[in-house]
Parts: sequence; structure tokens; C-alpha cells
Amino acid sequence: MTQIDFVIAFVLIITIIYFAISFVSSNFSNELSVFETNELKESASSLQRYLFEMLDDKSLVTDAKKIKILFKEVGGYDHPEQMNISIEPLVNKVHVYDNFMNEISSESSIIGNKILVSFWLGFSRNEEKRINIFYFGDPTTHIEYLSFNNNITSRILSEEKIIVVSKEKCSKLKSLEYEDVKNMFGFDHQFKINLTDCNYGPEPPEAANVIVKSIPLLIENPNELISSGNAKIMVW
Amino acid sequence: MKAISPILSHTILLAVGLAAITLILISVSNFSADMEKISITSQLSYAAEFVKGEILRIYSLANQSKTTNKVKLSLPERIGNEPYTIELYQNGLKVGTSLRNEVLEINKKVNISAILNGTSTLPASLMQQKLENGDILISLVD
Repeated sequence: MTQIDFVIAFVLIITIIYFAISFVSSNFSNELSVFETNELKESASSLQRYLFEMLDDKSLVTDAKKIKILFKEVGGYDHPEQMNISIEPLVNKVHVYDNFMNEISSESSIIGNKILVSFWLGFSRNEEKRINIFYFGDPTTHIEYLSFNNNITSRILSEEKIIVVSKEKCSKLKSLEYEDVKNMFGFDHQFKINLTDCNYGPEPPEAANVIVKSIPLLIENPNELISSGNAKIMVW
Repeated sequence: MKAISPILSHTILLAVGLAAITLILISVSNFSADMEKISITSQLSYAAEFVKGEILRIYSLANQSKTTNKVKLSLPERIGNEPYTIELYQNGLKVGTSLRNEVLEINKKVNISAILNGTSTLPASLMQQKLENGDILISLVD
């Protein structure tokens, strides 16, 4: 009789301990999962900074310049006008865009130590138009609107440095081995970058806990035009 | 065959019971210690990744402006009821604490063109300065 009591008591204790450990393990796993997720988020942020915020040789971005100019029709009639903007010093990859980032066809020519950008704009009577000129190179020392007919006035609203994803740097990244890139960034996790013409890294496994960050960017296209886009970083 | 006396029988049962309880307590204790170690390591790893992210952030600010920047590290002052240290060294950082005389450390590589130095417990801040020779110094200060 005593042996049977002992066996029953022993089985009961083992069962209670088993359920207690299962419960504690489950809670512990959840707690660990929170820390791991937070760490993955921090890793994704670190990768974002390495790739899209730093201007060193490891990043994918380079700095470009953006000049905002406001033109106003003052001749008092509807007409198209050829705009001529002189930029000093010599800069490169100059492109003109409207306020919605649609390219305005333009021509650039070098005159001495200046670059002359010419493009056509159509104006209604007293209409105001804002345009953006993007270029790569040193900050300007002098910008001038060369007016021949005095029909249009201009005002330079701002000149700022912007960060643009560089197609050359993308090509360089894609030529590197994945493990070498991970080592270069000191990255302990796995990652994938989804970016137009610049996808890099393996696909995440279906069962993995994947952190996804979407980053709005300006991207230099293969035809040297700049467009708005999104980069997606996946870390697991 | 002579039956075992009831006293001896009870004594054996008690000894087996005590042995079983001791075994269970040791197992639970080891399990608990392992869980605590994993939990602390995981928190240290998060703290290290957080500090690395802040270093990269302050470094990217240095590239955009010439001013000195200071960022307070928003991290808990203790992990597992123990204070922990953060150490910056060239191309990396270390976050560590001790658990029952065992040292737990997490190292992270920080590959940037800046001088990293300083050791501190929390609360602490990161300070970025541009030196006269153009180098960027990121140090850990109280």
C-alpha cells in the first residue's frame, strides 16, 4: 500500500513540475522573443544608417545639390520662354525638374568655368513656376538667371545638399560577396535589400522572424535622372 | 523470505523521496540559472546593438555638420539587477556584466572612420567631436 502511495505522489509531483517548467519556459520564450525582435529592429536601423545616411565608401549614397528657383511671368501675356541659368563652378549631371519631379528637357554647355543650363518653360500671364535643378559636384559659388527679354523674373529659393542613392555605389555593392559585406558592416544577422536595380542579399526563410524597414529615398537611375523611390531592408 | 521491517521500509522510501526532491531542485535551479544567463545575454546583445546604432547616428551627424554632438543613451541602468559597462574601442564596442562571478560580454564591430574610446556604466552619453586634424572622435562620457 505504501509503495502505491509513493508512486502516485511521485507521478503527481513530476506532473506538476513538468507543467510548471512548461509554463515558465513559454513565458521565457516570449520574453526572449521580444528582446530578439528589438535587437533585430536596432540592427535594421544600423544597416539603414550604414547604407543610406553615411557618406563614406561603404554606403550606397552620395551627396547631390538641389537648387529651387521661382520664376514669374511679368510681361503680361501667355508665352513660352527659354530659360538660361548660369552655374559656377563647373558641376556635372545637371538635370531640371518641375515641382512634381518630372524632368524638364534641358541642355548644358560649358562656358569657361561656368555651366549654362538652358530649357523651355511655358507661362500664362503672371504665372509663377517653381523648378528644381539637381546636380552633382561642389556647392555653387554663383547662380544667375540670364534674362534677355525681361518677361520673366527669377528668385532662388534655396540651395541644399541632398542624399541620393548612387548607381556606381550600387554596382560596387553588388560585386561584393554577401559574407564580406556582412563582415564589413559588423552585421551578425542576415539581411536583404530591395531597391530598384540594386537588390542584394538572400531571400529570408518563410519561418524566420523578419523585420522590414521601408525607407523613402531619392535614387539616381541608370539614365542619370533622379527619382523618388523606396528602399526595403529585411533583417532576420 | 523474511519481510523488510516497516521502519527500514519507510527509511528507504524517505531516502528515495529526498533524493528525488534534491534532484528536482538541482534541475530547476540549473534550468533557472541557464534561463537567467540567456536572458541577460540577450539583453546585453540588444544594448550593444542599440549603442552601435547611436554611434552610427552620431557619426552620420558629424558628416553633416561641424558642431559637437552629444546623445544620451536611453538604456536601463541595470540588466538582471546588476550594473553593466559599455566600452568603446577602435572599430568596436563591448557591453558586459557579471553573473555569479561569471563575466558575460557582447562585442560588436563598428566599422567607421572615427576614433572610438571611453568606458562607462549607465547613465552615459555619447559625445562626438571633430578634432583639429579633421578626425572624428566619438567618446563615451558620464
